Amino acid sequence: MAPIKFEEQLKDKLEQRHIKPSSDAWNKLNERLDASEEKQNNKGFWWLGIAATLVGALIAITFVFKSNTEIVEPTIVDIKKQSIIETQDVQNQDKLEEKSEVALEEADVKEINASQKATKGKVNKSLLNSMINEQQKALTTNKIKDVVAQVDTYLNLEVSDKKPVETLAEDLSFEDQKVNEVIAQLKQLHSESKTVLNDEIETLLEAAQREITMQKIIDEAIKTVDADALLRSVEDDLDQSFRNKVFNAIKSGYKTVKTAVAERNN
Amino acid sequence: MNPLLKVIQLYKNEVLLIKKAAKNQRDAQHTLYEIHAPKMLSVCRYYIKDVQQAEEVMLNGFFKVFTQLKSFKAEGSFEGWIRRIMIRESISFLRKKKQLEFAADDMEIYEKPTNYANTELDIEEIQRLIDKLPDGYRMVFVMYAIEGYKHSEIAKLLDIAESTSKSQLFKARKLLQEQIKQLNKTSNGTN
Repeated sequence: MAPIKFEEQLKDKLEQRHIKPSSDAWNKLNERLDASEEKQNNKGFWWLGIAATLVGALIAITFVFKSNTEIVEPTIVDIKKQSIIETQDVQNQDKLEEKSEVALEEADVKEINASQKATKGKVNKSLLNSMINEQQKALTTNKIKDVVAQVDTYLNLEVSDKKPVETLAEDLSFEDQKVNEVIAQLKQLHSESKTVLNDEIETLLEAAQREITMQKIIDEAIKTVDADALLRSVEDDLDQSFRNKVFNAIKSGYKTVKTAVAERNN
Repeated sequence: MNPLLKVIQLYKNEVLLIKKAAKNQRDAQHTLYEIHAPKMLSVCRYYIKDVQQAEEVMLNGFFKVFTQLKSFKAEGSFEGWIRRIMIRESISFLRKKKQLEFAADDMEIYEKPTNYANTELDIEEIQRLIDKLPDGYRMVFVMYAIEGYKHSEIAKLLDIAESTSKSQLFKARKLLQEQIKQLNKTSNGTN
């Protein structure tokens, strides 16, 4: 349909028209735009919050699992290490006391032998004091070194690897001592009687074996009880009592048989 | 300055403003609003009788313009894009008010030719005549005669049949003819 002139006229006039909006129209629009922007920002933060929570949970889980493995081992090692340090301290203290006693004895002997050398005894005492001080210093330095070493090992988590080696060394040394003792006893017997019976050797070895097992059962340094060794010793006791019972039964049986035969002959 | 160069300069400025407004720069948005708001309020006023309501519709339209500015492709004019948004907003407003009703009519009625009486009307009189039309008639008449939409496009936008759009236009024109005749009579009577 061809455009109608009147409608064309309407269109032209309406197209030229402009109506000015009210003065607060823009402010209203501005507020709405601000509100929508805040909503968008909040949406972003909401997702960020979720992401942060997930990451936090993951970190917490990994920390919990890691800390479980890290905490358990060092606490065990810590106690043992400390006990070892304490025993070392006690040994050192004993050595120190022995040395001081020896020094005192020497000083006394020297005082008895030569009263004129009283001043020398004083000197010895002063020497003794200086020795004690030195030993104490050495002790403290040793202790510090040990503590530092303990801390290092704790940090490096290598204590568990070192610990068995140390305990093994201690066990070996004790066993060596026992072996030496047995050898010394055998030499003594050999020198006394010149002939050593196999039974004597076996009894000595058994005694040494028992002492070693007892040492294993109660390790004062570690303050732990070896369950296997304890069980073994109890089993030995049980066997022993069973053997005794059998011997007693045989003995009593033999007596009854003997008396019965004797009575029949009579 | 050469008029062509002036147009190019204005276009460049508008493109720059649109880019800034798309990044939520409020100054650029305000400038675009200042440029287009008076025209767009006039467009909304074609469809909505009350100016304040027309302004509300216009603000809703601008809110959508600025929040969906990233989806604007510089294939057509920016003003045309805003105008289409304003028309849709106006249709949506009238639908919500339940003021849009379209009655199906016979084909024979609207195929008769339209003849307006020769008269010169000012803009206020034109708007008054349009305002007197029922909402359905007014909507189709403005979209067809002023905005230049085809019946198929009007049918799609208003979700009606093309025949309904044609009948609504015919009835709107007939009513306008009668109104203009009445206007001429009264003006002649007064003279």
